[in-house]
Amino acid sequence: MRKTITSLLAIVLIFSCVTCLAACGNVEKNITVVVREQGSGTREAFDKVVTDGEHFLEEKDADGKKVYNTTNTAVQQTKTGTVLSTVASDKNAIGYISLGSLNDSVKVVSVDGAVPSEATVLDGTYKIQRPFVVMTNANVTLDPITADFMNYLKSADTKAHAEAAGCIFLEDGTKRANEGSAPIEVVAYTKQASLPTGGKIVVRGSTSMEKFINAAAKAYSDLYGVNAEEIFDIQLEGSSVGRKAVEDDTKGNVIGLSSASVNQADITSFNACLDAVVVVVHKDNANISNLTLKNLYDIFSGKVIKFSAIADGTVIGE
Amino acid sequence: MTNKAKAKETFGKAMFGIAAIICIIVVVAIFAFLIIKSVPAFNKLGIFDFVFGDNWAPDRNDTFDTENISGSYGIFSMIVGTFAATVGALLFGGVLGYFTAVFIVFFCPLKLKRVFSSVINLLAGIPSVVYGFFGIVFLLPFLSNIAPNNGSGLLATSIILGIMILPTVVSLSKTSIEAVPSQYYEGAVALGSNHSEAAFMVVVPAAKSGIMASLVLGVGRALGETMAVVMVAGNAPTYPNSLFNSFRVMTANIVMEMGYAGELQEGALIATGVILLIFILIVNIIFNTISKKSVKSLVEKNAKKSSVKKPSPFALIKEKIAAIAYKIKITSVGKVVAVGAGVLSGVSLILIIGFVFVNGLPELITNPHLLFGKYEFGSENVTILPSIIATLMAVALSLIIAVPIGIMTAVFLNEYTKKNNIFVKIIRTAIDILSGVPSIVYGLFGMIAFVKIFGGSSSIIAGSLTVSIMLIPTIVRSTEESLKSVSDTLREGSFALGAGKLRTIFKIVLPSALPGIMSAVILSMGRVISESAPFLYTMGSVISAVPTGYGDSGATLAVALYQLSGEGWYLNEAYGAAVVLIVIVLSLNLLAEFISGKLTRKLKGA
Repeated sequence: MRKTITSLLAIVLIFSCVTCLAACGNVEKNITVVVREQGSGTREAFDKVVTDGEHFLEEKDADGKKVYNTTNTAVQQTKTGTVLSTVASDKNAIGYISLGSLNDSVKVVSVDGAVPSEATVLDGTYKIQRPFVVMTNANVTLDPITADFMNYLKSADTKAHAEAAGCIFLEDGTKRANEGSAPIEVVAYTKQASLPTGGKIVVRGSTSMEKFINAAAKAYSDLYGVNAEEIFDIQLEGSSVGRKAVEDDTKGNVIGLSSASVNQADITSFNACLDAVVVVVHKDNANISNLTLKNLYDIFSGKVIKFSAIADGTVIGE
Repeated sequence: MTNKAKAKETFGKAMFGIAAIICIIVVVAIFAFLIIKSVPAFNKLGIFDFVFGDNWAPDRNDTFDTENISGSYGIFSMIVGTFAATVGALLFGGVLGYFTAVFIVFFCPLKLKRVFSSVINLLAGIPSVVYGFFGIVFLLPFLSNIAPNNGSGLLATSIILGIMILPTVVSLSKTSIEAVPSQYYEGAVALGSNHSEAAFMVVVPAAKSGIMASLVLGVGRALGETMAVVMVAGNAPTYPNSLFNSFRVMTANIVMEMGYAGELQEGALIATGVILLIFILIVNIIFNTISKKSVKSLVEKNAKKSSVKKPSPFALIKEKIAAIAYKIKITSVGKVVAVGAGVLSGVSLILIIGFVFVNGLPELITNPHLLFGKYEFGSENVTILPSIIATLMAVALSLIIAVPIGIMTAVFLNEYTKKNNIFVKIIRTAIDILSGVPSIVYGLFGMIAFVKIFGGSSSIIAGSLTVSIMLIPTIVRSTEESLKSVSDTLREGSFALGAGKLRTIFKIVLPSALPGIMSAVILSMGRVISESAPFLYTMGSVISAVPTGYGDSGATLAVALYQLSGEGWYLNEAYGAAVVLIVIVLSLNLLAEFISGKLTRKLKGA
């Protein structure tokens, strides 16, 4: 009998502690800043554009040391999908994802008054943008099937895939090449007599380019009447992983995808399309619909920690 | 002996010897790898700046030859983070585990006792991704009610790690409390103590060093844990300066960045692994000293019972405190706490399994595609069939490699070498050290050694080789244990009947040790299935088509669960995968327990 009473008492004690703690949480919460990991192309594109006029979120200091100015309290997620689900489930969250991965579970915030769209990205009024880059190793000969798929990726056929993936196809050959290099023009793809020889095409790189590469791989396989999984080995874990896989390629069967521009001597690359990095908040966040680059810098660097301090572009009390 | 028989014997000895040599090569290779790869980084960055610098902002373009490196590589915030999380885990799991052990031994109704103990043992086998998954779907949303952020941070990490070390602490503490001679309890009761007083004032203090050892072992587990922490800590490279801010531990640092690290960054990550390994070694040494001491102290106590010592001032103070505690009936408070702890740990364990099953079983039933579906390219219909097949392939290959090498090495060490051979001692120590290496360090090794060998991208063969190296120390150790338990009279009898050494080993020793070896093999299977950190960058991390050969990449079931729970869109599928994972691992553990139970009965019968 005494045993039962004591254990009951213990349970009651624990529960009352928990409810008491839960009741303490009724003040305005801090902003949950959701960022990607440092190797991510999305993070790189965002950090190199967002500025308060003096500093960028990622910059080099006077000694040439890399500095990240992102707040220490940021939650780091390693996937586009995780950023989306975190923002969708947290009323005080703000994060960023690729335009192509956007869905209606979150609310888009315009930046400096520009809504992210094909027009605003192409004319540059939407500033947080970056190219989707396809890469191969410059020092190995690609095996026939990989080389042929690269020709396909460079062709006009991929325009449909770019659109399906929500990124903006580049018609201009100079924009497809790195600055200062020879233009890479859009060509027509000619189907080979039969599927070229070679093992599986290994694809590594940016999670943001998943829809694009899946659509292209599927269409290419359909062209030759084979299953995509028979000729493709696709694992997307981040732009830096893609770059490293291409650098380490010894067989000539690796295609890398990067969602930040690449300019390296040992990598051959072209820009397949343009993407915008979209700033997203919770659906019910009625107060925030437009932010300046400076607002974004302040939020992501931790200078502003409550949404109530910002009302559509102006910082209250400044 | 005929020449033929002699040749056979020599051949046999050579075979076992070769296995042992392979083992040594592996051990040497891992240490060489850790040293060769980390020394240039230590040189370039300076050990002091690396360990005590608190800015981590790596640049993948830095190499060992770069004149002015642009990245910063200081891991002090992560060392602090690792220790904070470990201390937090001790506060939750250690204290809870201590009182739960007391509860099981002294206050648990007899009928419940066996169930409780075996449930706690089973929990030790639950994969760490499942704990992490539980953290994501249950603990973080719950904590976000009181947290200024989404709940991730030190508190969540401490709770999850605490629950993970709970089984270790409970089962070891329980064993050492039960090992205290019953005269202690009887004597206390005879002198007029009640049940609680005898338990808390006499028996538990006598088991002190055993309980300490269990806590130290728990610390070791908490230090090396990777995936569960990655899932709930937030992972920003900063100090944990409140209960709810994103911070990073050392293992998380390795797993988050090793996929794309540049030359110097990779060196710095391996150096992180080396520092972590040093901490774990220190913990292991402490554990060994304490557990040796605990045996010694019990023996001494029994021997010196009659000798009267002059009480030291320290002991006098302790006596005073005990007297005060006695007056205010602290023992009855202790009893309440113990019962509460027992109930709490029971509830939290039931909660984890129950929560996952309640959410996962309906998904498995209503969505057969999840378990049996064909992989559709680019489709959102998730299927875990390819992962199950990839897991089975990895289990098969890694056991084929690790089991023969492990068993033969154990036979060589136990049957062919002298007990005090220095060389053998060195091998044993090396194997002991290896079994304490956190699995993420094996992942690093596999990524740099095997993935490079097999063409630069992850494949099932690279993953299997990596994990087989991880299994070898465990298999050697447990096989040796069961070989040691085979009585020497059996061997002598066999020799006396004229059997050669080889014949004795294969016909007498190995069969007698078989149940122990079998349960080691089964536990190894469970370990391959539940590990995820060593596979992430060696075998692949994304669910793809059913693998057609060992050259393909593929995510194991545990890795698939990590990915699915991370994506956020596939939570139901993740629940389903978690149920499958738990069922497989728990049934393997039950099987192992059943077999080793058989062994004990057999030994008792003999």
